[in-house]
Parts: sequence; C-alpha cells; structure tokens
Amino acid sequence: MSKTRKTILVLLPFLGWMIVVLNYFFIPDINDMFRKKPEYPIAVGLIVLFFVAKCIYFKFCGKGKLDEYLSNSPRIFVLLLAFFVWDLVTAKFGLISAYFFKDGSRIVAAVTGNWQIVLRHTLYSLRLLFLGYFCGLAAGFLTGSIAGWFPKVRYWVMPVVKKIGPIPASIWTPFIVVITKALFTASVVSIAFGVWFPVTLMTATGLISVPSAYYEVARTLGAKPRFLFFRVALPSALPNLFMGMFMGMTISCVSLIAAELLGAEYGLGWFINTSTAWGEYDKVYAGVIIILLIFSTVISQLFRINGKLLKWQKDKVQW
Amino acid sequence: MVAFDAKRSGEIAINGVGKVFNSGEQGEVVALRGIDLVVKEGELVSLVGPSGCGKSTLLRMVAGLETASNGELTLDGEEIKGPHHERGLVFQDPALFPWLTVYGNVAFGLKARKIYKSADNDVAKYIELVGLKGFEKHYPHQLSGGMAQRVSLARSFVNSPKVLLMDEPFGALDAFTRMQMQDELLRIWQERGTTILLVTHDVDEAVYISDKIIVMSPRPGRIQKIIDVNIGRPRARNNSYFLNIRTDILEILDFAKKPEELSYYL
Repeated sequence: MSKTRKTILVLLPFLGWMIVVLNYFFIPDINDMFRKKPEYPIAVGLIVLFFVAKCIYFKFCGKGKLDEYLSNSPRIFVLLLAFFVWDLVTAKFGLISAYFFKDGSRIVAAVTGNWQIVLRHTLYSLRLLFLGYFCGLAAGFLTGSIAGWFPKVRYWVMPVVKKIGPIPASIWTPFIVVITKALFTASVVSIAFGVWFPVTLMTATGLISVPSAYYEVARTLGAKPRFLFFRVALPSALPNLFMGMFMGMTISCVSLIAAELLGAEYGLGWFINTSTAWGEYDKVYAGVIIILLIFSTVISQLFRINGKLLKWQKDKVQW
Repeated sequence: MVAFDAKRSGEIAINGVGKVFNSGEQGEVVALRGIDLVVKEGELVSLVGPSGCGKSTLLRMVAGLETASNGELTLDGEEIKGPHHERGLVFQDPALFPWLTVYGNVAFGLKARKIYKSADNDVAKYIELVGLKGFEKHYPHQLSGGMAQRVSLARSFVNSPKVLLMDEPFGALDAFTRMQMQDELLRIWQERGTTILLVTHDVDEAVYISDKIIVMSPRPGRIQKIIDVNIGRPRARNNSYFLNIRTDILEILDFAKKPEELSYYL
C-alpha cells in the first residue's frame, strides 16, 4: 500500500469526526433548547481514538497487519457520516418525529446524564449474561460430549434435544420460576437453556463427524479411549464447538432482554423496557447501543480465541 | 541416525483366516477364505490384486482393526487382539491430525503411550529420518502430498513398531513423487529392519520394492500365487528379470492380453 493511501486511510475517520462535530456545533437545531456540551464530540471522538490506538498497536507490534486493519477505515468513515446524516434528519431539520427519534447528542446525554444508574444496569446485565452463558456452555458441552461419544446415550438424548431445543427459552420461564423459586436463578436458567441447545447440538455433531481414519491411526499408535476422546475427538470437533459457542452467545444476548422482564430491578433489558414504557426513547437507544457494544466485544474476543486455537485450519469461518 | 534395535522380531503368521461380512441387501459376503501366509522377520511383502480381493481387509485384520471370522492371526506367536503400537499403520490418505504440527503428529504415538518426555525423545530424529528437518512447526495443510506421507511414516516409526502395515501408501501421489517415496521407504526399511506388509495396486511398485509378492484374486478373496523376487537391490526398473516378474503377475491377474486378440475385436 502506498504511503499516500495509508495517510488518507488513517485520516479518513478524523474527517468523519470533524463533519459530525462541526454539524453539531454550527448548524442550528430546529428546536434549539439543548445547550451544546462536549460529551457528544468526545463520545464520537472515542471511536476515532480507538481506531488510532489500534493502528499504532498494529504498526509497532502487529507484524504487517496494519494494512489489513486500515481497510476498516472507510467503514468507520461511513459510520460517522451516518451519524451526521442521522443528526441532520432528526435535530437539525426535524424530518421525523423528535419524540421517537433522538439525535446522537441526546442518546449520549442519556448515558452521561445518569451514568451511575446506566453503569449499574450494565453490570447487572453482564453478571446475568455471563452466568447464564457459562452455565449453558458447561451444560451443553457436557450433554453434547456424552451424546457425541456414547452411541447409546445419543440414541435417547438427541431426539429430545432436537425437539425441545428450538422452543424459545422464554416460554419455559414461568415453570422455571416455579421450580427455582428465585427470580435471578430463573433468569440465569432461561439464558442458560438458550445457550445449552446450540452448544449441545454442535458439540455432538462435531464428535460424530470425526473421520474414522483419525481413530484408527490413533489406536494403532497406542491411544486408549481417554486419550482418543481428549486428544483426537475434541480437537477435531473444536471448529464445531466454536460455532456452537457463537450461536449460544447470539441467543444469550437476545434472551437477556426477555430474561430481565422477570421482575428484575436492574439490567439493561429492564432499563430498555421501562424507558419504553415511560416514552424515554433516548434511553432506549442508549441501552440498545450498550448491548450492541457488549455483544460485539464478546464476539470479537471469542473470535480471537477461536483464531488462536484454530490456526491449524485451512479455511477459517468468516464472521 | 536412529540405532537399530537388535531384539526386534516381527513375524506375522496367518493361519486359515477367513472374513465374512454381513451386508443387508446381499446377505453374507465372503471377503476372504482360507488365507495362509507367513511374513518373516524383516521381510518386505506386498499384497497385490484387483479391487474386492480383500487385500485391505487382510491388512486391517493384521492391524487389529477388523476381527477374523475364522482362523488365527499371530505376531511372534501372540494372537492379535485389537490395535497395538507394535503394528503401525499407514494409509493412502496420510490422515495426519490437522490440529497438530508436524512435530506434534510425529510425537503423537509417544504421548499416547505416555512415554513422551521433551528432554530426551526421538521425535526430531525421526523427522530427520524422513527428510523433513526444518518443517517441524508446519501444519499438515501446509504440506504437499509427498511430505504429508513422510510425516505419516515418521509418525509410525517413532513407536519402533515390529511391523509396519501400509495400505496403498503412495497411491495418491504423482508418478515421480511415488518413485522417490519408494526409494525413501526402502532406505528406511534397510536401516530399521522393520517387517513391512504393503497393499498396492501398482504392480511395478510391488516388484520394485518387495522381497515377496502375494497375488490375490477376488470373490472370495484368496491367495493365487506367492512370487519371490530374487533381484538384488538397488533394482533397476527396466531390468529384464524385473519385467518378466511384472508380466507373470499381470498374466495371473488376467491383464496380459495378447495384442492379436485385441485387433480381432477392432
């Protein structure tokens, strides 16, 4: 990549940021009651800062991955342009209902205005999300492994898994509440249930589809059943296992909001629902964006682990 | 280089072995009937024959991956029950573990037998033996077919097996790589003295590398003829005696049709 091109790509997000900020400060709002504060430019600036930080990281310790990362630059630029257009449509020209559609600065203000409460909601959600996710993961991995490894167990278990798995976890919640007698536990269980299904299915499928030649070679090399399971079957099923983990993460983020309807007092799902009920749509957007950020962070971390553990794969799964 | 293990034996005895498969539609299929064969210590023996003659099945029984319907298979007088690291196996598809590096694949047998110690092990020596020094950290998908098959060889040899069983090991390689691999195999065999039983559908290959060729015929699979190849090594692939044996085998297998007969049909 030529040097000029590189410079342009590095500067592009700055340009986007400038457009958003200039628009924010210098084009008058249609309903100019809101005092201009620096929070919005700072929040948008954080995106650019994150981009620059990663560029610097890749430049000095990324072994030539800078070019690859720089290809994200136009996307960030367009994202910032989208903010700009959104602000024009909402705050600046009032083309759509200002009651439902909030411009960027108001969404940011919904977070910064009562950040302690939003933080508290976020932490509660994270606790629920991770507890539910890891419980579901452990349970799914266990059932999947047993069903995948022992044909007799598979015969009885897999039909049940396939039948009850696709039913949305929220349908079970009343029964789970009755059984567990605790709302928080019930929320965890309902998320765990949603995760359990794809993880079980993918783990079992992965184990079943291990090429028999691997087992045969391993056995003639002196491998005993335990070794066959942990050193042949599991590594071979790992790509499938990761697919299950990704699917589980998607489902757990979706079911988070449903799970927090269970008389919780904190949590982003509760925050979003309550804000909707009160017509505070700026908070609704803020909640959705925070969930989105959590989800994308977790998924990208999962993919990092995935990439490290599966670097032996020829054709990696593209996300 | 790897030291020769003096107390190695490795005599395979196959007595009246038969194999019957129960397939749903065709009922019972007799894959092998009345096989008697002795492969002596350190011998290199090939099984040739058309597809369906049960040569792979026989090899898999010696490996312990299939059980005989009747008869008895022994290694050094001990009955063969299930797979064992004394009997290494190499397939046509190298079946390397894709999640392990070349080093990891070769070390697999030692780890499986829990005798792997990073301080003193032979893994590096065996990688060198098959000529792959410098490729230790490569993953299987980064290797060519010939290289992968070398790794597969090293992976078997690391266990110092008494017997090496090979099922069309070079069948998937191109002609030049195949000839090169045959020479490699002979070199390692001469150095290690391992008994080798090899299934092939390549008559030239059989004549080029074997001490003894077992010609098999199908339906039911049985031994048609045992041919001793008394040609000194290294062998020339165009030696007249070599070509005579080749013709003999093709005649037994009914492939050596006279040109006149062909022209008649033309």
